[in-house]
Amino acid sequence: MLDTIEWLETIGQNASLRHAPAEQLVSTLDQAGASAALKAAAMSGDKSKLSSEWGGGGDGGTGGGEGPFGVDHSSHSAWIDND
Amino acid sequence: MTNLPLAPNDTPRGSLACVGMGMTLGSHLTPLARSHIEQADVVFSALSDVAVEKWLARMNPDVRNLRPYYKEGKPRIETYQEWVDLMLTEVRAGKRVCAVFYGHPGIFAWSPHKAIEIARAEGFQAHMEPGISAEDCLYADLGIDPGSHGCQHFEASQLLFSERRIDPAGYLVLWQVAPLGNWSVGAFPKGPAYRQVLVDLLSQDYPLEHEIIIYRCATLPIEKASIRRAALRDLPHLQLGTEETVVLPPSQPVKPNLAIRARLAELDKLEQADISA
Repeated sequence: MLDTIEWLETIGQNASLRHAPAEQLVSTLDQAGASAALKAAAMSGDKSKLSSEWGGGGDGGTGGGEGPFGVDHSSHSAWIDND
Repeated sequence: MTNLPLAPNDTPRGSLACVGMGMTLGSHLTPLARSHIEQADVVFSALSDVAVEKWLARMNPDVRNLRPYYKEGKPRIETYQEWVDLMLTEVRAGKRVCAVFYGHPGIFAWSPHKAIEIARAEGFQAHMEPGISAEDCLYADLGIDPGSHGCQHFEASQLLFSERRIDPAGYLVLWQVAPLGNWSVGAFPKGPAYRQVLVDLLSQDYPLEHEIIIYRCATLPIEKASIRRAALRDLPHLQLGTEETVVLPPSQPVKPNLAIRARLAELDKLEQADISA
């Protein structure tokens, strides 16, 4: 049985699953015994519902401030004024 | 994973590959980038999501997260210099180093370019493998072809701090609008007045009622891209995440350059005359 990371990789690589309607994707996940958190995230399209998969803890985030997934999604380059 | 053996005369020599993870887990990582990750002695990472970090950790036993080097109130450039030092320390120690960044490792990313530059100057093999960037996703999700009208990209703060020429006949893409003017991580968020300065600047070329698009691509394959629309005048008071990008569609038609067209027509005539002669 696949774990959540393996499922995410599988969904991301599968043309039928990546853009499947939420109900259809959840049905597939349900039949395969995927976790409740993944099914809830897939149904809502809300990745924050996956936080329980990682223990709900912080991520060493960098100021993004959006809960356990609140990583700094800004660029890795502050524009540098040369003047 | 297949590790081809080194030729007998090859001695271990440090190297650096900076690769992109792409934006969406499972969908964008190229086979070559994955091979770099799997074959590296040491992998450094700066990624978008915990899930992506956990995915990466399964590809190599020695993955070192660079994000904890960000600190509240610490200038970003100090962090980026530390990242470069970390990478080069391992390269100099003879390791095959792979640095993995979300999206494209060379877009809005200072450290990969700098690390490659220094490594090469010191005689090490170093290069970059492209990845699918947020910009790539933006074109696909918004249905924009940069070839149709042209497309300018600016980091929003740079647009404010520098004198730049905006072309409202093309698309304008503004990155990092949410942290406008914040040079350190965890800095106190700037208020609407800072974004109002941006709106005032843009209003020199766009009407205040001009539609803007706030875009965020999917980082996990259970998500859809987020696409919101608003009027330019409302930008200061919109909720914006650091991962969101602001797009201004063209506000003016492309004007034909009659002088250049006439000059090209003259050249056509001269060329035709030469052929006929």
